[in-house]
Amino acid sequence: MLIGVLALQGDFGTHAQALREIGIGAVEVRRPEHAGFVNPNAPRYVQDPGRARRSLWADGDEETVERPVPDGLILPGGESSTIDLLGRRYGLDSLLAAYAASGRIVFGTCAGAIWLGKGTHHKVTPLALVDVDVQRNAYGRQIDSFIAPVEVNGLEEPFEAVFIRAPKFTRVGPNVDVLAEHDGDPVLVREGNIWLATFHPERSPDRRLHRLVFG
Amino acid sequence: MSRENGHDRKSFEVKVGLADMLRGGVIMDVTNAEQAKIAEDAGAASVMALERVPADIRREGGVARMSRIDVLEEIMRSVEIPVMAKVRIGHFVEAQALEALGVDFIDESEVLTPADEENHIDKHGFRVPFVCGCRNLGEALRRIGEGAAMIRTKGEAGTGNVVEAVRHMRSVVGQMRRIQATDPAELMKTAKELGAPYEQVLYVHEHGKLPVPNFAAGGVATPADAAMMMQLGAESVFVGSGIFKAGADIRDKGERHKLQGALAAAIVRAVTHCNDPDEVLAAQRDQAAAMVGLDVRTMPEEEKLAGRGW
Repeated sequence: MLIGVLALQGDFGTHAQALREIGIGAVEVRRPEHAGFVNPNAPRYVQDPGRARRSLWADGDEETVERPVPDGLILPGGESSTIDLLGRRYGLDSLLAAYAASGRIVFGTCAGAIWLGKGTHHKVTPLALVDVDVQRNAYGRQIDSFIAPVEVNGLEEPFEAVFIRAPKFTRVGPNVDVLAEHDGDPVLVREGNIWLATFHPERSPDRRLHRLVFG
Repeated sequence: MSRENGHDRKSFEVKVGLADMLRGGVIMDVTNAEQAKIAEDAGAASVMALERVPADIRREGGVARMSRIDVLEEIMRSVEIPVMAKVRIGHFVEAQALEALGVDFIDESEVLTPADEENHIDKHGFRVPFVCGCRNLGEALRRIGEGAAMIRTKGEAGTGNVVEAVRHMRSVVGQMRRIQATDPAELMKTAKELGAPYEQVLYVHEHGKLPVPNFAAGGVATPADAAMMMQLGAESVFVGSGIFKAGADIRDKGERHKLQGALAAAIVRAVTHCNDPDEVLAAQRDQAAAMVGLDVRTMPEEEKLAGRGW
């Protein structure tokens, strides 16, 4: 199994490490061709014209690289305004919608959840792929960040969830399953193949949530 | 105070968590709400709120202190990205005040005039995370030992010359490579030589990296500078005077802001795609102007800021 990790900005490295720890391959995605996004409904491999590599050994022609289409995608935490801006610059916003429609698993954490959900933000235009309203920085500033155990539907023992300048789901649509709550607020939700968490599962040494999502 | 109990471990993890969220991003020095908004619009992951940028502190001289609170408040109100602010080395009461204000990160910075020439702030006691500068690995590990949740190179702020930042980053990364290859039996001697806590030296030996994110700062002025610092091992880049001192001779405010925004966006582009030469080339093209370089080699030793702190 190979999972793409959107690597525009933020905690993508820790997500990739978490995946590798449970035996799942990870590929960093910065531009559409990094994830074979060119056509997500294509078979397992797509042709990427790549950029010309003018090495001593190349014979002058552009190299064509076969890139695997990842079986799933993680949108990590980071600064949602930065990720939104950089994603749109490379057209990743519309490609993400097509990718999600192909039925592959998409997991958005913190900033990733803000981008995939709905809501009105100062600097972020959400993709509205999940029927939840998200409020950015809903707990306050950094000194209000915290770690708390949450009961997750599908995990036997509580999961130690790390909330950093975290958002809140202020409305959850009728077709969205709430899989975990903290103090009465939903913190992990799922609609079809898209999972959203307001916390950072990659920050805990515990890999059960990555297993649950991609298992 | 015990630093072994669960509460402190969690507190440190939350602090390093925010530092990690800023990875692969650019943190920009801003002196007012207008600049903060330009930075946010250009894709900055965070802003450093200041009364004066290092280039001006350097030029004007005198005692440089924590910024005026109204300047910080105005900037905090104007953007949604995290806001950092600087305190003088060792000035724990400036830090207490900024924690009470609610800034998201505190930079215990050599750019300001040190308040204590012997001691840095005991950062474990704070809920707000700290970033500290370093010139080499020993200095980085001492700061982490005191509770810093992020390390940056000192470089030489306000010069537009990246040479000192490169020197400091190469020193830190090179020393880490050597420690990784060191016989474990020699690590205590290494700790003694570096003047660094043994536990931190052991961490570097086992992991080949710092226990907190390692960012670059001090003299980064162009997209290519920023991308080079990333390739040398930085996980993010601070840009100080390099953006909002550019175009100072442009009278028209709108035109000046446009140029500054373009420069800011170009640096963000180069950091995101630091390993992609085509993207860095495009970012260099995007860059409309770079600040006038003040060559560090012509600067007298006593004018260097990096010598502050130990």
